[in-house]
Amino acid sequence: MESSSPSSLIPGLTDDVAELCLSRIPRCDFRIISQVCRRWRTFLKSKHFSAVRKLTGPVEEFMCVLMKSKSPEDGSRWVEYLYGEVFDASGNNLGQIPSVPGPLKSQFGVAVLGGGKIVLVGGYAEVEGFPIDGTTRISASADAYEFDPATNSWRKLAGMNVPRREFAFAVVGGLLYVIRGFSSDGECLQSSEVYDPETNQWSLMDDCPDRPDFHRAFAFSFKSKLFVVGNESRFIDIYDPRTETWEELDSGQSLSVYSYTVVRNKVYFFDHNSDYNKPELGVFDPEENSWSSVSVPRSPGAYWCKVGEWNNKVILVSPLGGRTLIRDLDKENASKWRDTHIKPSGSNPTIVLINF
Amino acid sequence: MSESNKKISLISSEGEAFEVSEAVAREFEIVAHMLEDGCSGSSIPITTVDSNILGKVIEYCTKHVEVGNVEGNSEKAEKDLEEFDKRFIAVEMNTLFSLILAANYLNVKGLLNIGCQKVADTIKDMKPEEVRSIFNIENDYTPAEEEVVRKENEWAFQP
Repeated sequence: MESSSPSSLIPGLTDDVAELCLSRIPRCDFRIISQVCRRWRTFLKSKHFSAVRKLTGPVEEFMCVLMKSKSPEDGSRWVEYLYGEVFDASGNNLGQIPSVPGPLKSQFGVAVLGGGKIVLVGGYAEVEGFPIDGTTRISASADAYEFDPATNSWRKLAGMNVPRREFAFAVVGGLLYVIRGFSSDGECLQSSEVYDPETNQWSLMDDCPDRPDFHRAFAFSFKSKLFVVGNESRFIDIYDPRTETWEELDSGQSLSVYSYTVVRNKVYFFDHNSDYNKPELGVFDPEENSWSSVSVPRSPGAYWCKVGEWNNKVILVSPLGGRTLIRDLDKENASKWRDTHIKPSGSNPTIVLINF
Repeated sequence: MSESNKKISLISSEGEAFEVSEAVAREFEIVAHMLEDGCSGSSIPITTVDSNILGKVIEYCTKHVEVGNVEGNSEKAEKDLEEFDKRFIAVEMNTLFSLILAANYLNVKGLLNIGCQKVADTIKDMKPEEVRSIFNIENDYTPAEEEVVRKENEWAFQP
């Protein structure tokens, strides 16, 4: 057998096969195995490793929770920032991803493109010290940023044509659609645009139906079509990218949604109109155009929970580090809400899934 | 006589001959390429693999060829094969390494995959010091460096 030099990754194996072995280790163990020796850590951090893993290693699904937190700047005042925390399918906390560049935003859109890249668009930033009255004003943003787990970094993408905040958004057929929203001064925008990651370009959409009082409830992709649902409106706008046409569906419901997720073609959402004493999760089935609800345990923080997807299940994350509950709602009788040990460290969580 | 009944001798590093069917020999991609390149000889020297390991690799390939030839009931066959792989790879570390190196050299992809997976499964869930002792790896961190690495909280581990 070939002898290996003392500088080999695994004594007794040639480096080419040792690399194949290490590339099969789940990411949650990277922190531990990088402590073994310098060579392992250097290898795990190398571009070569990413290439080997891409070729032969497993693709894992991770839940990334984007949150706000505060840290002292210059030791004098607290500065709020937006960062992400990553959990694997077993609920292991794999650590944090770098904070989002640019000024702190609210009312932005977060989507996943190409299965693994997190895109954060628009929203507003506060503009302090306005010269006339000294109050805080808000400034809607057209900025878009992309997080690539392979480089563990954010980069700036092309900006939207129109700065906007609190808009509806969804990925359909690999393109990110951004619908309506509000301007800096609170004007309701009627324009919509679409981002193509292949060309890094935004294009405004024609013939988007007018909804003068549109407030986003949710948008999602179903059967290769874009569904856009507004709050306080019974009409759902459906866009078919193949024919580039819009149609309208009367849902008969008036909503006031503040958090939603899509799991296996059903939309799960929290509604402001829900009874504080009997919190429930709304369910919309686009196949049947039907609405239902599921009760949620009443506990401190159950109201104002954020909802997301994890392991094909619905996950509820409390806004301020309370309980985190999951439930498989596909087989209603088989599963109940149960607590998980997932505890995101920040506040105001937004949940996305990435494959990496 | 049909092609698949042809016998081929594989010669280990000690010079021992292992007679196998051509179908089994073709599981060694390196041998398949030699046959395609017109290598007509019926004995092929495998000079870097000893008899013990060559025998095991042939056992692995024979089983996989046999199961591949069985028609129908594929679910059960697949399960059997999985069980076989599991038992086959449950060997001590030196043998495992030799199997991996042989599978890599002979280009037996399935065996290489389960061998590398076995090493990965052994490493995961272990403490760094356990990994070092099992794989005979020297800890080249200074205590201060080790402390820094332990506190790293960057999940993606990329530059």
